[in-house]
Amino acid sequence: MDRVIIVEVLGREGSVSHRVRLDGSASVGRAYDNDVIVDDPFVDPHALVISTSEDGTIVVRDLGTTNGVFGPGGRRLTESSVVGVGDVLRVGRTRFRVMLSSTPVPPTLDDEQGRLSALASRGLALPIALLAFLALWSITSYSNEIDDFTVAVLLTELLGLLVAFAIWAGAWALGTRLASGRAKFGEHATIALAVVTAAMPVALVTSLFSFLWPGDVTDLVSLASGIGIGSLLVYWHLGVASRIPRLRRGVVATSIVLSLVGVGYLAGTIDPEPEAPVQSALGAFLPVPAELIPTAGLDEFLDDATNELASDLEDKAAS
Amino acid sequence: MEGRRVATLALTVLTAAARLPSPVAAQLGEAEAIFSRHSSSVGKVEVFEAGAGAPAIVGTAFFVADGLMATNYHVVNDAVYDPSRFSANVLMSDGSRHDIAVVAVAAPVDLALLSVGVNRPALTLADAEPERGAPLYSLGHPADLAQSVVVGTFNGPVQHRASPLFHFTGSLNPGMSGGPTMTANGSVVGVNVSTAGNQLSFLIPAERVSALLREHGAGTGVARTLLEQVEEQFVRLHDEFVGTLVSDGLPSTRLGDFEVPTGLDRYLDCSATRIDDEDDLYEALRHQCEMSDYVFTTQHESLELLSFTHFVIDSDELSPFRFQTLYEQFFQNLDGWLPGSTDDTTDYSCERGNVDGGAAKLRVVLCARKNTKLPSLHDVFVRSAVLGGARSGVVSTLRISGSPLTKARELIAEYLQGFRWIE
Repeated sequence: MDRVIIVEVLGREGSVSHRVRLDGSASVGRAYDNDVIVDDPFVDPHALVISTSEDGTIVVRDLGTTNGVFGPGGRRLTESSVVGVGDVLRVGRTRFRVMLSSTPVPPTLDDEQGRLSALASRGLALPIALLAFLALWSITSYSNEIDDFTVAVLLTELLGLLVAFAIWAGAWALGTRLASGRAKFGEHATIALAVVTAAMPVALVTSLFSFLWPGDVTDLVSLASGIGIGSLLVYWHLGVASRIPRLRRGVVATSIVLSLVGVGYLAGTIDPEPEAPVQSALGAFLPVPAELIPTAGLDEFLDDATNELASDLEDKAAS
Repeated sequence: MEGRRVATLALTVLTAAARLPSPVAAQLGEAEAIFSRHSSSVGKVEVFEAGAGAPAIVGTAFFVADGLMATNYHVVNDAVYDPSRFSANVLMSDGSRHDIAVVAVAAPVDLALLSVGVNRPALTLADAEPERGAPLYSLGHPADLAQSVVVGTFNGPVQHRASPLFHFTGSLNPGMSGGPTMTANGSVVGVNVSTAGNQLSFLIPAERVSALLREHGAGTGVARTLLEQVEEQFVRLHDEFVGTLVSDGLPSTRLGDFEVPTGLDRYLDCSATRIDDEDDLYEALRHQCEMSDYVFTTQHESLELLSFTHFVIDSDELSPFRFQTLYEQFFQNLDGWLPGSTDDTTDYSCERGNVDGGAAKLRVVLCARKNTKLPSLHDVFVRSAVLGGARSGVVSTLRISGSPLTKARELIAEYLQGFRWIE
């Protein structure tokens, strides 16, 4: 039977600070004659002994410590206690665990985070994202301008936007710096530019949908695409800023965006503007030839609309 | 100082009177007689909010029958909507004060009947219109001052209205609402109701007071609350006038590249203007029609019964994409279009769609709010835009107040069919 044990002394954050590999048993304490020497003033010179039996059971024996030896859940271990593989134990203020050489390790992680980060950190990524953004933004800005379109107007707008991008990327860089020591400002700036650039054609497509089929369904599609884009943005930033695994990162990103949307919605519900429902019903317009625009018959539309309104208003009056 | 100024002013008027040609002087002489003969039949109505020491609203009322006075609905509508919070009384010219109760209303014409626990001689209601230019004398309490008499002339009925009004050239001021305007022989031609400033004042025809008195005498509406009466009156009003508008058909008029619905002269006052700013890359024409009737279907708000506005917009300079941005801004602009929020209505609900109006495809947004005290009445807002124009279009707004949804629907259908491209 396997009698090789590995004692892992854990650091503050739960990561392994050092490992000792031993055959059969290990003595743990502050004194230098121990197998595992612990630098902790709350640990006795000779604190405990770990041993394995024939069947692989791990036994911890307290040698009469001043402050006690504790198992999972703060259970105090008596003179001789059986503990499980990987249980986090504590003596003094030091946490440790015991593994066997046969203990399986988790599967190797896919370094997808590295790739995402790499995509944004390639030498040309930032200039390409910036150029794409500038090009699309200029077109959008031109189509949205109903007065004379001048370079001065465009430059003023762009200056404001670039400052906003810099603040946004700077905030993420600060967070990244605190979490991992490197700021990665260039990557964050690239990510923000790339996602906002991608959002512009998506917005055009969703507004085309709401133009052709104005209604609650297309509203939902627009909202969903907005949430999707927002989540992608946060997901990508988080990938560069942290080592949160992919799935959890997706959940975190979506939850952040959803809660922002929720807060916005609640703010609208708490202090509703009387014209808010009217405002939100007035949608976008696009240059589509009349023959391509699907329409309902006048009577059909008016019948449906007045029925819907009647029952809606009945509910509102009742509440 | 103050006293001297008043004295000087009085002197100016007196001097002026002395120099006036004799018919005017005669009219002013009549005023004196009218005032001394009839002022005892006229009182000042004061509406108090519970706990308040001063009146919230001041108006005028006059005796039309035994123990019954007439005034404007808008003077006493607080007491109709919220009788637990508002009470009203009347102060007669002899200084006596009496409680009053609203016993009947004609809300669309802005009249109310009050019962008073005292009697004064009832004024005679004229059964025919006087000649145009006939001198008239109006009694009331302008700006909460002592009872005054105002002189003017009769100028016949006003157009563009669902409920008729007479034009009177005397200066009516707030506080005179509900007071009588009479001929030299003391028969009441109309009830003071509103003013558009500068001797442009309006009277409710006395014949409407007689009608309300007859209804009240016949016991019509006795079984119903006042609010139920108000609701039913507006339903009837919309029945009648939407019926007429729809059966006659809304006429249309040319505006830029479009034909758009316009109004019948009898009911609607229409005007058109060009909005042309040199800096703009577009031209716009505005065509507006409205009824001058105001409806009081909530306690604090009065709205036009019906109005609509078209903006025809076109541009040679904007690209189709930029034109649509402009068009969208016109379509989405709500500044000054929606009445504010009120306790007596729900907020708006809206339905929208692309609709085939028959002669043009339209984006239509149809919004309505429901009156919670008068539950069959709605305020309706319709925003529409003709679709498919690369560089021109028409954005329109239709507002209907105090209407059943079904009646509004009929009118909207008629209206939306009136949009057409001119080839």
